[in-house]
Amino acid sequence: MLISETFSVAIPIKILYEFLLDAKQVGLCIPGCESVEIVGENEYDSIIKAKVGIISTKFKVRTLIEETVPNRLIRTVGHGKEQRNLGQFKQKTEIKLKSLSENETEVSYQSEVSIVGRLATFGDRIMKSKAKTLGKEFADAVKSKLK
Amino acid sequence: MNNFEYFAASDVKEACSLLSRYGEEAKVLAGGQSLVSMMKQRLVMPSYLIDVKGILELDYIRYDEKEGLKIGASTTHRSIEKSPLIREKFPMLSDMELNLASMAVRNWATVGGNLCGADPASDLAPCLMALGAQVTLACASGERMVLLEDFIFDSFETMLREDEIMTQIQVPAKAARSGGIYTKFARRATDLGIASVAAHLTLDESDPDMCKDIRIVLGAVDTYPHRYKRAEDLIKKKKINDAVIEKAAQAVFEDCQPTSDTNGTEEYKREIARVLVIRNIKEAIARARSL
Repeated sequence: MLISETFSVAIPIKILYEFLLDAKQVGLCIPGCESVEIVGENEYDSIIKAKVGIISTKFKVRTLIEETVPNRLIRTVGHGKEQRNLGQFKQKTEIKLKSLSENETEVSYQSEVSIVGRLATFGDRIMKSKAKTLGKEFADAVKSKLK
Repeated sequence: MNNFEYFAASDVKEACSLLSRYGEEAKVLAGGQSLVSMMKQRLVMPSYLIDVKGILELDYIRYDEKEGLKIGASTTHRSIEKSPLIREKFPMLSDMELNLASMAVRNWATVGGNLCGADPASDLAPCLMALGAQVTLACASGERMVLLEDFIFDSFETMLREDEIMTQIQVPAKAARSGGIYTKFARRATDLGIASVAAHLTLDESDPDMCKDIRIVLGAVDTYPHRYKRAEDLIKKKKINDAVIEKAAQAVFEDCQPTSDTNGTEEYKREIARVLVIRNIKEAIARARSL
């Protein structure tokens, strides 16, 4: 499943880039994120709660920042496991930043996510919609955090 | 399936009181066609199950010219399918029911359960949204009415609070010179739709070529069923002809956001939606004119 989105934020590119590399700060902006623990260089674990309708899930997620190009690109890979064993996922994400003006940055991200297990029975359509909602909430949280 | 305590509520008051007592640990069983299967997969593990299907005061179909059609939330799909009153006043609802899952499911599943489950591919929700339905939600401290089109706001997401149950669905009285149709495109007639369209319109009484009002709702295409207001505005208060209908269908084609999956690509689903909109508006006009 491919999830992509482009949005712009009224934040200078340098500040945004540095913010996105700060796992603890980013964690505070991820909807449902309960904790972030740094486990290695550019590697961290997080616990993320997500809800679709009456189904509540809690994932333990490991994320590795695989590649960075200062002020331009962040590439991550990760995998997560639902704590009640409802499913697992893997993700590869590419975040591209583009300066629109001195104080405005365009963010475009593309995530390739694969889900297996019982949660996968929900299908791409629902997962994609949930990811879109969460993506928007994340963007709003980043904007308000960097105001 | 996990262990849980089961309560068969005998009336709305008892159901609401149980819900306010157990909060998010409780789930409402209103037929259970989706919930039980989720429980079997351990996707949902409630500690308390409150069965509202046996609440007799919620099993009814009534109609009057002032308040329109009222359906109790525990009414089964089969009751709607077989109701002479609904067949006479809102045949699009009866026709929709004929292809909603299997007869065994229709015999047991309830309309309240269907709407509160908010499945993106629900057949019932687009139909009722096109008819302008409102739903009544009750809790221990009172009740509120909301438009169905506001009630469902995302995949499997509704405005229903943990302490509430749906008690009634109300459809405005049938207007003169109005008609509608629901069409589902699916591999087999009773499968979940790959794309579905409900269209309901009212023609001007003095000019049968003029559209007074129209509602176009798509199901199964986007993440949840909803109205296509830009397309509706291209037809509303205008003389209806093929060009206008095609323009509205094109707006739906452009505005919908399907996802590619094993049932078809995004483009394929857009095109199906476009074609169904054209067909359904034409059929709705024919039905409105024939009355």
